[in-house]
Amino acid sequence: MSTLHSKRAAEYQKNPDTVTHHDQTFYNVRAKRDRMAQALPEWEELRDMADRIKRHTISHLDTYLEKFEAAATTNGVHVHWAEDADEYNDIVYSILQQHGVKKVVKSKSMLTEECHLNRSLEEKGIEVIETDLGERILQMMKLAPSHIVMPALHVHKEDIRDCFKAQIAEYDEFRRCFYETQNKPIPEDENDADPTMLTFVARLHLRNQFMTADAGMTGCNFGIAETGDVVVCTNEGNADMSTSIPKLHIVSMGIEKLIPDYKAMGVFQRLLARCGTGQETTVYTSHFRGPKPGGEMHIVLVDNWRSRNIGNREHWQTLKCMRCGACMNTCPVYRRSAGYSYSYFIPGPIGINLGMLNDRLAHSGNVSACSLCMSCDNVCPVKVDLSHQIYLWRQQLDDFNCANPMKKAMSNGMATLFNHPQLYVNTLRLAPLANHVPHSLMHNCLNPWANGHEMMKFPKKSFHTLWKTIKEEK
Amino acid sequence: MAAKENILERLRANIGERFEMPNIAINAIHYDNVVEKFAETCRTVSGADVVMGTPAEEDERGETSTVHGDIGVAENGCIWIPQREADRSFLFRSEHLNIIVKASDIVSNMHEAYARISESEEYFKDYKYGTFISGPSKTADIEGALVYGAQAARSVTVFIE
Ligand code: SF4
Repeated sequence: MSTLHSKRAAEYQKNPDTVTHHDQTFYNVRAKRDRMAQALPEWEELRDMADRIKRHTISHLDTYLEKFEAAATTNGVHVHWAEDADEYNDIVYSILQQHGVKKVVKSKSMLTEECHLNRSLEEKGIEVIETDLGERILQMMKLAPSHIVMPALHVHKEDIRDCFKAQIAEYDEFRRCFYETQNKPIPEDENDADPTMLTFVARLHLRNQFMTADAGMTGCNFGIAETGDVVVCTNEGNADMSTSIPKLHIVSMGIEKLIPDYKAMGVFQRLLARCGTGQETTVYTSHFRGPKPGGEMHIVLVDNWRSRNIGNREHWQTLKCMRCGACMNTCPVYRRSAGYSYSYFIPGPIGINLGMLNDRLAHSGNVSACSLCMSCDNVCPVKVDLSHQIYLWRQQLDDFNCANPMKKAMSNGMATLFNHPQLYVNTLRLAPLANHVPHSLMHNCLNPWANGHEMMKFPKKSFHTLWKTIKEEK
Repeated sequence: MAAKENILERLRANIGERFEMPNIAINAIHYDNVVEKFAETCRTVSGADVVMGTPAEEDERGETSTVHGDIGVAENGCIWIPQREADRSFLFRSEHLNIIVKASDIVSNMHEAYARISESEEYFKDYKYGTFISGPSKTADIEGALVYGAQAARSVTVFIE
């Protein structure tokens, strides 16, 4: 019985070039993160502080949420609370409806993915335009994100070109405009797929969207309880474009995003981009503290699964996560199996854990996607003990009937063996017999561990026997 | 407001051990020649041009816009720009952005920058928005190739007065 992850990963392995490319792309981001960490003597001090601030804030979330709401309300912001995805989608729709909104421009937000907001709004006739370039590409191609920070890095530029050509009516004009502004001759081959040109085409395409949208939506990287700020960090500036043209701004925010004050913000700002993309900072770190003149600003605080897990002694620390993506970039399993192998929309070590908190029956298959190398624990800026938690989830699989019966039988067998020394020694003596097991018997569908592995050769004499002989010879 | 009460109720009931707030004092990186370091970071990290001095004349809002920044941060090239006029969209719509910073307003790191913002009574009074900008808008979303001018300013010149 293999998990969905291992089946999909096996499918992904069929194209080794894609795997190698994916692996190297994200390993490079991990290496850039390492250079950032090594350049700051206070790196570990920052991580330690970030961990402690998050522990404090998460364990005082009740009081900080009230503080945040009060501050934001004083600033003239409307604050809403949603217990689950449906309530959240309804709140957003009713705000949009009250303003007669037909088109929304949106910057990246994992929470809206979690709640399937786009689908819900589109069903009600509202046009939703993602404005982060990667997200926009995926939206046009009808694909899901494969990473939380670099969502479309797995898509090839030729496919992006084809998609733009088919869906952006002014493609030829924008392309010509690009070469003119660069003072370069327009290539004869109409099928050029230069990333700079494609980005320029998307820039002009998205500018039209910003100008014609009735509302802007953003996520929230950090909510500052003391002052009511919503902080959004981007490299493209699309969150700022989305909110500085339309009059209405709606923020979607998971309740765990709070931090106490500006002093804490300094710690997290320094860690986020360094960990996520290996940059000293994102290009824009924007503080939204209230509506524009003549405009309106709303914040929707979303719970969904958070408050019911905050009491989980073993797993509450997952709530410290600030979605930097570092644990994915370093994860050998993520790098070689890619985002779509996981059943939850957030992949990698943090996605495994978030999926389990959200819906453990639906996503328990992902807990096998971990080699327990613990690299994620070591890169996480807020010290979420990711691999330890995955290990704990595996121990609990049986409690909700998701344990793999074959692995369980083997573990029970091993337990018997290791708990009975004499049986262990006798079994070892017989081990070389395994050398004569025919290859076909080991390499069959019942034994997934034989995939890509050869059976070890047992030596004629075990270490135990050798040790005894040496001792006796002395 | 049932949702709010229910969420807060669940939090109060479920939160286990309550951890103390640490005293945030980081022994953070400090540069002796903070202006030189800032100029270098703006060039190499932010990807901006750096000019020592003041722009010849303030351009009309349009292709190029000019704005005053209040704090420059040497460690990452960030410049704090609080909103000072009703429409802030020019900061992002302009093809090119000139940002003027005083040499005396340059600090080493983000902790110092946030301390200055907290101490000031001026920010967020008239307009409730402020942003740190570090160079031109960037993206690497298409096959990881770094491209300037994803959506907002395609180039930035930092003037240090
Ligand atoms: S768990 Fe840690 S490393 Fe992973 S995304 Fe969250 S903050 Fe980043």
